[in-house]
Amino acid sequence: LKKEAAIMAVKVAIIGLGIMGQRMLTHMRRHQNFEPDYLWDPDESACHQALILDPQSKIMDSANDAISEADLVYLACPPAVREPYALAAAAAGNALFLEKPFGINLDDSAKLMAGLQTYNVPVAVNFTQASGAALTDLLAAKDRGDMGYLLGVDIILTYPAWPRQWQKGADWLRFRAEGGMTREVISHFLFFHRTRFGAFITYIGTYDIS
Amino acid sequence: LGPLSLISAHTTYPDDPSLCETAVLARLESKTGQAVSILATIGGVQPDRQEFIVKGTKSSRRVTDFHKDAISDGGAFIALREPPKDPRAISLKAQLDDLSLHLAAKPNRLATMEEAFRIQTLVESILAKTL
Repeated sequence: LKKEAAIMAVKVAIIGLGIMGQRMLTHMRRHQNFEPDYLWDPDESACHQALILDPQSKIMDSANDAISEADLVYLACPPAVREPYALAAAAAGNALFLEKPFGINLDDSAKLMAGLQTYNVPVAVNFTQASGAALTDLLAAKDRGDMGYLLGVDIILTYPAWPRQWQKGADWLRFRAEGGMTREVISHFLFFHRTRFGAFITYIGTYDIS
Repeated sequence: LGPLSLISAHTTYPDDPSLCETAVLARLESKTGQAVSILATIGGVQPDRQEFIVKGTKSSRRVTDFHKDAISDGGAFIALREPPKDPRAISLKAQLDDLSLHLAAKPNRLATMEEAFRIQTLVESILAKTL
C-alpha cells in the first residue's frame, strides 16, 4: 500500500460495476476509510447506473486509467477477466480486494496467486457473508462454551430458480464454467467454517461422540 | 481444507452441459468423524432457503439467510433477536472494517489468497463429483 494511503481515506478503483461492484461502491462511499472515486466497466449501462448511485465518482476511460489513480483496486468483474487487471494493479503497487473465486478455475487461480505473490502488496478475497452479525454471534456463543461440544454442521440451500431474481443481471452465474450456487453461496459457509471453526473441530477430535 | 476432508459428493447438472449445477449432496468430515453435511437443490415453487446449522451438545444455532439467528436447546428453534433491517450493510461494513485493518497490516478476518484457494479447491472437488 502506498504510504500516504495508510493515514488517510484510501483511494479506490472499482473494476466491474455489476451487482457486487455497485453494492461495494455504495458501502465504500458510506465508510470513512474509503474513497471509491475511480470506476470502470465495459458495459455503458452499468457505468450509467453506478453514476446514478454515486455521482461523486468518475467513470474512467479504461481499467488501467482507474488503476493508475488508486491505492486500492477492488475487482468485481467476472473471474474470466480478472487476472490481467489484478496483475496490473499489483504491478502498480496497489492493494487488491478480489471477489471470489479469484480465478475461473483452479489452474488459473494457482497461476494468479503465484503471480500476485511476486509483488509485495496486500491482497484479500471477499467472502462478505461470513462477516455477518449472526455468524459472528454464533462464533461468540461457541467460544463461551454455550453450545457444549460441536457435533457437526448442516448446510441446507433450496432455491426455486438459479440465478435468483435479483441476480439476473449477472448472466455468468447460470453457467457451469463460472457460476452456480456452490461457488456463489456454499463457499461462504465453507470459508466461515474453515476459518472460524477449524480450531474447534480439531479440539473436539478428543471428544467421543459415540 | 485443514481438518475437513471431502468424503462424498453427488452433484447434478441439467442436460445442457453449459449450465450450472441444480443439486448438491455432499459430506465432509473431520479426522474424528464430525460431519459437515450439505444439501442444496434448485426448483419448485418455494421461497429461497439458506440455512447453516451448527449442532452442539448443549444448544444448536441456526443462521438463516446469513442474518437470522435462532437457537434450540432441544425444542423448536427460537429467534434470538429481530433481524437487522439491512443485513447486507452490516456485513459489508464489517468487511470494510476488516479491509482497513488488512491495509494497516493488522489482524483481520478477511480471506487470504491461500485460504480462498483452499475453499475453491474444495468447491471444485464437490462440483466435479457427478451422479
